[in-house]
Amino acid sequence: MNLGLKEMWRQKRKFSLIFVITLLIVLLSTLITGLADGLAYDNGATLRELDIETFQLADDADGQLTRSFIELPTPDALTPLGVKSMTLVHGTKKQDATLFTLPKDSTIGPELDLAVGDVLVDPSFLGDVEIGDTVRDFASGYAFTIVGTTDGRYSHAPVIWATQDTWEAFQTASGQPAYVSAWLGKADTSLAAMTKQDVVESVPGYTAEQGTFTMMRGFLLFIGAFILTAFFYMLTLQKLPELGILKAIGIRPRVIGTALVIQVMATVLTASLLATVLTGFTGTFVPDAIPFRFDLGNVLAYGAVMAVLSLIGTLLPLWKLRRLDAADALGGIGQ
Amino acid sequence: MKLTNICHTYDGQPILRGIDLQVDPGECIGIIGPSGSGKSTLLQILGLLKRPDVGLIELEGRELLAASEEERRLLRLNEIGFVFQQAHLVPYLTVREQLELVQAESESKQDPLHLLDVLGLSHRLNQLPKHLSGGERQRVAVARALINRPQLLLADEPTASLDFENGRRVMELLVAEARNHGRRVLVITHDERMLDVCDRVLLLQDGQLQPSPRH
Repeated sequence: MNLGLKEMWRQKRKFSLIFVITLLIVLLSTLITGLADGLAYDNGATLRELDIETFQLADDADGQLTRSFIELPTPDALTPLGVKSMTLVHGTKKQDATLFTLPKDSTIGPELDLAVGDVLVDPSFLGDVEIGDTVRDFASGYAFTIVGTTDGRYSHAPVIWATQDTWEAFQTASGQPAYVSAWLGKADTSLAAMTKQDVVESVPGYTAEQGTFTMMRGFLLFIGAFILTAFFYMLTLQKLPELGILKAIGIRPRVIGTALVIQVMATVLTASLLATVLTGFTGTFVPDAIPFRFDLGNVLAYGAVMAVLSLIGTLLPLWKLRRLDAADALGGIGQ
Repeated sequence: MKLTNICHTYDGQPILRGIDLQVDPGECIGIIGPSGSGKSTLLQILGLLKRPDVGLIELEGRELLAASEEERRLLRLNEIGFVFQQAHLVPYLTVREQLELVQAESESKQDPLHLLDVLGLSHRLNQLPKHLSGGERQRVAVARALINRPQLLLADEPTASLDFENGRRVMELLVAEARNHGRRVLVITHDERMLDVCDRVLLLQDGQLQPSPRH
């Protein structure tokens, strides 16, 4: 058995503690990143999940769906999308939500086999209201009946889905001119064509939030990796006298280095894999009200960065050992 | 083995001032001297762990100090055996594995089981150092130093952490190695009760090596 693995096997308590500390540091990073990713995704989740890449918005809307008013008839090749922020009232309770509508037979969004006035709501909308309840738009008084749920968030507010027929009925009832917010699909029109990513980035507050989240992820990764690097650096420093003995009795530096590399890789990679599993598992039971997103690529990238930096932390003192008189490393045999 | 004009300074202070010494095969030499006189430094230089400022070390006609780092490592592995004040065993290797680790790096074909049997450790083969007594640990250290059949055996206070009986046993082991196998043995010790088994006792004082007037 390799020298490094033998040490881990024979000193289980010490290496279990090292493993737990490593796991907690990696897990802290991946869990907080999961929350940040969840929040970041939450802002434009409904848009991201639409099965379409091109949006046509009014020129003066600056990419914001809630500011886009298209009063022209929708060309046959395109699909009308209605988006409106509103405050919904149930008894004395009020909740903000964003109404999204598509034609009943559209396959771009969720299946909308709904009657006029019926809506599907994001599960986070439920609580004060239940399926079967009726909620009213505070501004117009139009009534929506909740008939089911479907996941959807826009600008951190729950989305309620309805058909294009409901959208038109709502506009008629509230005395608004007939308009839609966007045309979905590729075609030559007089409107501003935008990619889905552009529209997501135009959601109010999205870009500023992403900056915050990027900083958050960056600091987490930097601090987590720094702590791990320092941790493994100190562990190797602590072992220098023992490594000095090995060097003194003629053991090859490669054997010493390989043992350390195997130890740090076994510890950090196992901790990263377990952190990945635990982060994925966490994503399955966090409440709907807490946006959480498990991005396997991100989590594995974190694990890889931590493994590389831990390795550097472990091997840095070896450079010192290489330059050190083995006699000095032994200690106690000075003069 | 011949040392010629070995000089060494530490922090600007001369520690060794022109040491000349010849050690013949089968000879066991005890080195004594006050603390800070440079005994361990001399042993480290002999063991190729330190380079002196000036001087020559010849072993079997080879000049050792001109060797590269890798050549020095191989010399330490194959030609020199170390026994330290504390046994300095690898804490997570069993008695048998301590020897196998060193043996795996060299061309030695000596049977570790036979060596451990000779040293009275055959019943401790699979024990970790923490389960051994002080005397047993030091005997394992001696076995590790001998496994590659070195020409030169260097021992720095090998009996310091042992009671008289165990210390005596370790000293007799070292002397027996010199006598029976023609090895050169240098032992640093403060315990003068251990010196009567040595062929010569030298005193290191003021950077000079001279015969001890009391032995």
